[in-house]
Amino acid sequence: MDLDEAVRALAPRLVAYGVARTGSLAIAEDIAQDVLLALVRRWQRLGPPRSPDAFAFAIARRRANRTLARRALMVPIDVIHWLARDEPTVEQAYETRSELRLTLSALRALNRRDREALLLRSIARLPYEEIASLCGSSVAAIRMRVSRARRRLTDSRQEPSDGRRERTA
Amino acid sequence: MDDESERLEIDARLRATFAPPDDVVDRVVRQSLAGTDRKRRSTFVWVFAAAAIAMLIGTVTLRQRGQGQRQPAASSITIVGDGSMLVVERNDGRRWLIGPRQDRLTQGNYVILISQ
Repeated sequence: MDLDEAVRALAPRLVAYGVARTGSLAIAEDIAQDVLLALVRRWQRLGPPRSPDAFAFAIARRRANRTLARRALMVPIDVIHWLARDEPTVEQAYETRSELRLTLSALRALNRRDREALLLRSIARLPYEEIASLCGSSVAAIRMRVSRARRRLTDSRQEPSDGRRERTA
Repeated sequence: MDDESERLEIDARLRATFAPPDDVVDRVVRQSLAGTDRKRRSTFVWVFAAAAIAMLIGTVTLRQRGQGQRQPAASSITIVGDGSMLVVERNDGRRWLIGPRQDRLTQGNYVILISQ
Protein backbone atom coordinates (compact mmCIF):
# COMPACT_ATOMS: atom_id res chain seq x y z
CA MET A 1 0.00 0.00 0.00
CA ASP A 2 1.42 3.39 -0.93
CA LEU A 3 0.93 6.66 0.91
CA ASP A 4 -1.73 8.03 -1.42
CA GLU A 5 -3.78 4.89 -1.12
CA ALA A 6 -3.44 4.80 2.66
CA VAL A 7 -4.55 8.44 3.01
CA ARG A 8 -7.57 7.87 0.77
CA ALA A 9 -8.58 4.75 2.69
CA LEU A 10 -8.20 6.40 6.08
CA ALA A 11 -9.81 9.78 5.40
CA PRO A 12 -13.51 8.76 5.46
CA ARG A 13 -13.04 6.55 8.49
CA LEU A 14 -11.19 9.27 10.37
CA VAL A 15 -13.86 11.88 9.63
CA ALA A 16 -16.62 9.43 10.63
CA TYR A 17 -14.79 8.57 13.84
CA GLY A 18 -14.33 12.28 14.58
CA VAL A 19 -18.05 12.98 14.07
CA ALA A 20 -18.99 10.04 16.29
CA ARG A 21 -16.65 11.24 19.02
CA THR A 22 -17.26 14.98 18.90
CA GLY A 23 -20.64 15.33 17.17
CA SER A 24 -19.22 18.03 14.91
CA LEU A 25 -18.29 17.62 11.28
CA ALA A 26 -16.03 20.68 11.32
CA ILE A 27 -14.04 19.42 14.30
CA ALA A 28 -13.94 15.93 12.79
CA GLU A 29 -12.48 17.37 9.59
CA ASP A 30 -9.80 19.22 11.55
CA ILE A 31 -8.90 16.08 13.46
CA ALA A 32 -8.72 13.98 10.28
CA GLN A 33 -6.59 16.64 8.61
CA ASP A 34 -4.10 16.76 11.49
CA VAL A 35 -3.89 12.99 11.73
CA LEU A 36 -3.28 12.52 8.03
CA LEU A 37 -0.64 15.25 7.96
CA ALA A 38 1.15 13.49 10.82
CA LEU A 39 0.91 10.21 8.92
CA VAL A 40 2.25 11.76 5.72
CA ARG A 41 5.23 13.31 7.54
CA ARG A 42 5.98 10.09 9.39
CA TRP A 43 5.75 8.10 6.15
CA GLN A 44 8.10 10.43 4.27
CA ARG A 45 10.63 10.72 7.09
CA LEU A 46 10.80 7.18 8.43
CA GLY A 47 8.78 5.08 6.01
CA PRO A 48 5.33 3.58 6.58
CA PRO A 49 4.36 2.70 10.14
CA ARG A 50 3.84 -0.96 10.94
CA SER A 51 0.11 -0.38 10.97
CA PRO A 52 -1.00 2.93 9.38
CA ASP A 53 -4.51 2.39 10.77
CA ALA A 54 -3.30 1.97 14.36
CA PHE A 55 -0.92 4.91 13.96
CA ALA A 56 -3.69 7.18 12.64
CA PHE A 57 -6.37 6.21 15.11
CA ALA A 58 -4.02 6.48 18.08
CA ILE A 59 -3.51 10.14 17.15
CA ALA A 60 -7.19 10.66 16.31
CA ARG A 61 -8.21 9.26 19.68
CA ARG A 62 -5.86 11.62 21.55
CA ARG A 63 -6.99 14.59 19.50
CA ALA A 64 -10.65 13.80 20.06
CA ASN A 65 -10.09 13.46 23.82
CA ARG A 66 -8.28 16.79 23.91
CA THR A 67 -10.97 18.49 21.83
CA LEU A 68 -13.76 17.21 24.06
CA ALA A 69 -11.93 18.34 27.18
CA ARG A 70 -11.33 21.78 25.68
CA ARG A 71 -14.93 22.03 24.49
CA ALA A 72 -16.25 21.25 27.95
CA LEU A 73 -14.59 24.48 29.08
CA MET A 74 -15.72 26.51 26.08
CA VAL A 75 -19.40 25.50 25.87
CA PRO A 76 -20.86 28.87 26.95
CA ILE A 77 -18.79 30.69 24.34
CA ASP A 78 -19.85 28.21 21.66
CA VAL A 79 -23.51 28.68 22.55
CA ILE A 80 -23.21 32.46 22.18
CA HIS A 81 -21.32 31.98 18.94
CA TRP A 82 -24.05 29.79 17.44
CA LEU A 83 -26.86 32.00 18.69
CA ALA A 84 -25.27 34.97 16.95
CA ARG A 85 -25.62 33.26 13.58
CA ASP A 86 -28.80 33.66 11.57
CA GLU A 87 -28.60 30.80 9.11
CA PRO A 88 -27.61 27.22 9.79
CA THR A 89 -24.29 26.25 8.29
CA VAL A 90 -23.64 23.13 6.25
CA GLU A 91 -22.23 21.50 9.36
CA GLN A 92 -25.34 22.32 11.36
CA ALA A 93 -27.58 20.94 8.64
CA TYR A 94 -25.51 17.77 8.61
CA GLU A 95 -25.57 17.47 12.36
CA THR A 96 -29.30 17.95 12.63
CA ARG A 97 -30.07 14.89 10.57
CA SER A 98 -32.34 12.94 12.84
CA GLU A 99 -30.61 9.61 12.45
CA LEU A 100 -27.29 11.15 13.32
CA ARG A 101 -28.77 12.88 16.34
CA LEU A 102 -30.41 9.72 17.62
CA THR A 103 -27.29 7.66 17.15
CA LEU A 104 -25.11 10.25 18.82
CA SER A 105 -27.52 10.35 21.70
CA ALA A 106 -27.50 6.55 22.00
CA LEU A 107 -23.70 6.49 21.83
CA ARG A 108 -23.41 9.09 24.57
CA ALA A 109 -25.56 6.96 26.81
CA LEU A 110 -22.95 4.20 26.62
CA ASN A 111 -20.12 3.73 29.05
CA ARG A 112 -17.15 5.79 27.82
CA ARG A 113 -14.83 2.79 27.38
CA ASP A 114 -17.51 0.69 25.72
CA ARG A 115 -18.26 3.51 23.30
CA GLU A 116 -14.58 3.99 22.47
CA ALA A 117 -14.07 0.28 21.80
CA LEU A 118 -17.19 0.12 19.64
CA LEU A 119 -16.20 3.14 17.53
CA LEU A 120 -12.67 1.84 17.00
CA ARG A 121 -14.11 -1.51 15.93
CA SER A 122 -17.15 -0.48 13.89
CA ILE A 123 -16.08 2.79 12.32
CA ALA A 124 -12.28 2.68 12.40
CA ARG A 125 -12.41 -1.04 11.58
CA LEU A 126 -9.35 -1.81 13.66
CA PRO A 127 -8.65 -5.41 14.66
CA TYR A 128 -9.38 -6.30 18.29
CA GLU A 129 -5.67 -6.68 19.01
CA GLU A 130 -4.91 -3.11 17.93
CA ILE A 131 -7.86 -1.72 19.86
CA ALA A 132 -6.63 -3.54 22.95
CA SER A 133 -3.17 -2.08 22.45
CA LEU A 134 -4.55 1.45 21.95
CA CYS A 135 -6.83 1.27 24.96
CA GLY A 136 -4.32 -0.49 27.19
CA SER A 137 -6.64 -3.42 27.75
CA SER A 138 -6.83 -7.11 26.94
CA VAL A 139 -8.34 -8.48 23.74
CA ALA A 140 -10.98 -10.38 25.72
CA ALA A 141 -12.01 -7.23 27.57
CA ILE A 142 -12.29 -5.30 24.32
CA ARG A 143 -14.42 -8.02 22.75
CA MET A 144 -16.65 -7.86 25.78
CA ARG A 145 -16.92 -4.06 25.62
CA VAL A 146 -17.75 -4.04 21.92
CA SER A 147 -20.34 -6.75 22.33
CA ARG A 148 -21.97 -4.95 25.28
CA ALA A 149 -22.02 -1.65 23.42
CA ARG A 150 -23.65 -3.23 20.38
CA ARG A 151 -26.31 -4.85 22.53
CA ARG A 152 -27.11 -1.60 24.25
CA LEU A 153 -27.32 0.27 20.99
CA THR A 154 -29.76 -2.33 19.68
CA ASP A 155 -31.83 -2.03 22.85
CA SER A 156 -31.92 1.74 22.65
CA ARG A 157 -32.99 1.47 19.04
CA GLN A 158 -35.97 -0.66 20.06
CA GLU A 159 -37.12 1.75 22.73
CA PRO A 160 -40.23 3.63 21.62
CA SER A 161 -39.73 7.04 23.14
CA ASP A 162 -36.66 9.14 23.89
CA GLY A 163 -34.18 6.29 24.30
CA ARG A 164 -33.05 7.46 27.72
CA ARG A 165 -33.84 4.28 29.60
CA GLU A 166 -31.00 3.51 31.97
CA ARG A 167 -29.59 0.02 32.14
CA THR A 168 -27.12 -1.41 34.51
CA ALA A 169 -24.61 -4.10 33.68
CA MET B 1 -22.51 -14.05 23.00
CA ASP B 2 -22.26 -11.77 20.02
CA ASP B 3 -25.01 -12.41 17.49
CA GLU B 4 -23.59 -12.09 13.97
CA SER B 5 -26.62 -10.45 12.36
CA GLU B 6 -26.89 -7.97 15.20
CA ARG B 7 -23.20 -7.20 14.88
CA LEU B 8 -23.44 -6.60 11.16
CA GLU B 9 -26.59 -4.53 11.49
CA ILE B 10 -25.16 -2.25 14.19
CA ASP B 11 -21.85 -1.78 12.40
CA ALA B 12 -23.54 -1.02 9.09
CA ARG B 13 -25.87 1.45 10.75
CA LEU B 14 -23.04 3.25 12.52
CA ARG B 15 -21.00 3.48 9.33
CA ALA B 16 -23.95 4.75 7.35
CA THR B 17 -24.90 7.28 10.00
CA PHE B 18 -21.44 8.76 10.33
CA ALA B 19 -20.41 8.47 6.68
CA PRO B 20 -19.03 11.93 5.87
CA PRO B 21 -19.94 13.90 2.73
CA ASP B 22 -17.69 13.18 -0.24
CA ASP B 23 -16.57 16.80 -0.60
CA VAL B 24 -15.29 16.81 2.99
CA VAL B 25 -13.32 13.61 2.42
CA ASP B 26 -11.90 14.95 -0.86
CA ARG B 27 -10.83 18.16 0.84
CA VAL B 28 -9.14 16.30 3.70
CA VAL B 29 -7.27 14.02 1.31
CA ARG B 30 -6.20 16.85 -0.98
CA GLN B 31 -4.97 19.07 1.83
CA SER B 32 -3.16 16.24 3.59
CA LEU B 33 -1.26 15.24 0.48
CA ALA B 34 -0.60 18.88 -0.49
CA GLY B 35 0.53 19.67 3.05
CA THR B 36 3.76 17.80 2.42
CA ASP B 37 4.87 20.39 -0.15
CA ARG B 38 4.09 23.21 2.24
CA LYS B 39 6.08 21.43 4.89
CA ARG B 40 9.07 21.04 2.60
CA ARG B 41 8.96 24.72 1.66
CA SER B 42 8.75 25.75 5.27
CA THR B 43 11.69 23.46 6.13
CA PHE B 44 13.71 25.06 3.36
CA VAL B 45 12.88 28.54 4.67
CA TRP B 46 13.97 27.56 8.18
CA VAL B 47 17.24 26.08 6.93
CA PHE B 48 17.92 29.18 4.85
CA ALA B 49 17.16 31.48 7.80
CA ALA B 50 19.41 29.46 10.12
CA ALA B 51 22.26 29.60 7.58
CA ALA B 52 21.85 33.37 7.18
CA ILE B 53 21.93 33.91 10.95
CA ALA B 54 25.01 31.70 11.29
CA MET B 55 26.78 33.67 8.55
CA LEU B 56 25.88 36.95 10.22
CA ILE B 57 27.19 35.80 13.60
CA GLY B 58 30.40 34.50 11.99
CA THR B 59 31.00 37.76 10.15
CA VAL B 60 30.47 39.88 13.26
CA THR B 61 32.76 37.63 15.32
CA LEU B 62 35.55 37.76 12.72
CA ARG B 63 35.32 41.54 12.44
CA GLN B 64 35.47 41.97 16.21
CA ARG B 65 38.48 39.66 16.42
CA GLY B 66 40.24 41.57 13.66
CA GLN B 67 39.65 44.86 15.42
CA GLY B 68 40.99 43.39 18.66
CA GLN B 69 44.23 42.34 16.94
CA ARG B 70 44.76 45.78 15.44
CA GLN B 71 44.52 47.54 18.81
CA PRO B 72 47.99 48.69 19.97
CA ALA B 73 48.94 46.87 23.11
CA ALA B 74 52.56 47.73 23.91
CA SER B 75 52.92 50.91 21.94
CA SER B 76 51.35 52.91 24.76
CA ILE B 77 54.35 52.14 27.01
CA THR B 78 57.85 53.44 26.45
CA ILE B 79 60.75 51.79 28.24
CA VAL B 80 64.07 53.55 28.36
CA GLY B 81 67.17 52.08 29.99
CA ASP B 82 69.52 54.41 31.88
CA GLY B 83 72.41 52.50 33.42
CA SER B 84 70.92 50.12 35.95
CA MET B 85 67.68 52.06 35.95
CA LEU B 86 64.68 51.59 33.76
CA VAL B 87 62.22 54.37 33.03
CA VAL B 88 58.82 53.17 32.04
CA GLU B 89 56.50 55.81 30.67
CA ARG B 90 52.93 55.38 29.61
CA ASN B 91 51.33 57.52 26.96
CA ASP B 92 49.00 59.03 29.56
CA GLY B 93 52.06 60.58 31.27
CA ARG B 94 52.51 58.22 34.21
CA ARG B 95 56.11 57.20 34.78
CA TRP B 96 57.93 54.54 36.80
CA LEU B 97 61.61 54.35 37.64
CA ILE B 98 62.77 50.81 38.27
CA GLY B 99 66.14 49.95 39.74
CA PRO B 100 67.91 46.64 40.43
CA ARG B 101 66.34 44.57 43.15
CA GLN B 102 68.36 44.09 46.31
CA ASP B 103 68.19 41.06 48.55
CA ARG B 104 68.27 43.22 51.67
CA LEU B 105 67.39 46.82 52.00
CA THR B 106 70.39 48.85 53.20
CA GLN B 107 70.98 52.54 53.24
CA GLY B 108 71.74 53.94 49.84
CA ASN B 109 70.22 51.01 47.93
CA TYR B 110 66.60 51.40 47.17
CA VAL B 111 63.97 51.15 44.53
CA ILE B 112 62.12 54.24 43.56
CA LEU B 113 58.61 53.79 42.24
CA ILE B 114 57.10 57.11 41.39
CA SER B 115 53.74 57.61 39.89
CA GLN B 116 53.36 61.03 38.32
